[in-house]
Amino acid sequence: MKDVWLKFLLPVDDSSVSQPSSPAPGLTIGRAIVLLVAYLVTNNLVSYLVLVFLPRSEAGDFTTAHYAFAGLCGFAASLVLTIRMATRVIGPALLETGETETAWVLGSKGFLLLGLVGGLACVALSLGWQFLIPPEARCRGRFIYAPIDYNPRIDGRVLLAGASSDRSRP
Amino acid sequence: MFFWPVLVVIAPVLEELLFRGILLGALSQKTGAAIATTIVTLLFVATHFQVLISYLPAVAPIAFVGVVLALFRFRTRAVGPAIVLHSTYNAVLGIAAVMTT
Repeated sequence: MKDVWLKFLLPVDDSSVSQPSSPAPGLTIGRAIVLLVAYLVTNNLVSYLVLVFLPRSEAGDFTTAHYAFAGLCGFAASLVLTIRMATRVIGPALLETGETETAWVLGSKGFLLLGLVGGLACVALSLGWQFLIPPEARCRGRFIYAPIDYNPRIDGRVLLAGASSDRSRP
Repeated sequence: MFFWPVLVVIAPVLEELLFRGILLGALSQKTGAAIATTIVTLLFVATHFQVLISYLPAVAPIAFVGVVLALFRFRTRAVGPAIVLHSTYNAVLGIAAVMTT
């Protein structure tokens, strides 16, 4: 089983890989969609249940930590489900496609390093494109993709209400 | 405390196994690489709806990264490099988000 996942996760030499002539028996679109739906349901259901049963604040509100913990539980549950299903059915089927049936190559570590560099490049591009927006038009935000200080609770409400973006208002 | 494991480890591993490892693999055998990449990227963007509700322009970088990850999957014929890319991307964005708040 360990070899299956190692072969699945690490790259192989392109030159000696043969293209699959037919879909692998275990790897069908139907199963892939079932897995996607199972992921969404499990993730959201577990998150919801954990959130409901967590002790609330005195005011009866959930805190950011509540949401974060519930999200962690939901993701962890769906990860277990995905790995379990993929290991039993789809992972071995991927091997049968010929994708990972070849010998290891020295370039495998290079590909992983390329992933690291690619991640940094994507960050630069993902954040950098926003500098094309004129500074006065940028919303300032706390969200990962938004420029600094964007607050949907304030800015979103202001936009929806069609009012001015007066930040002095609560 | 709960934010980082999801952002840097669980989400990249889970999403890459699911989207690029399984969905892309299954679809590309039926539809070809381009259509499979388009469909999987759309699904990938759709599952990030919480981010899009907060900030709609995020659709651009999420879709962009989805396509890059698919290209990585096809080019390297493995999910590992895409997991590393996704994890690096999330980690740096997370650090940037923390530093700017």
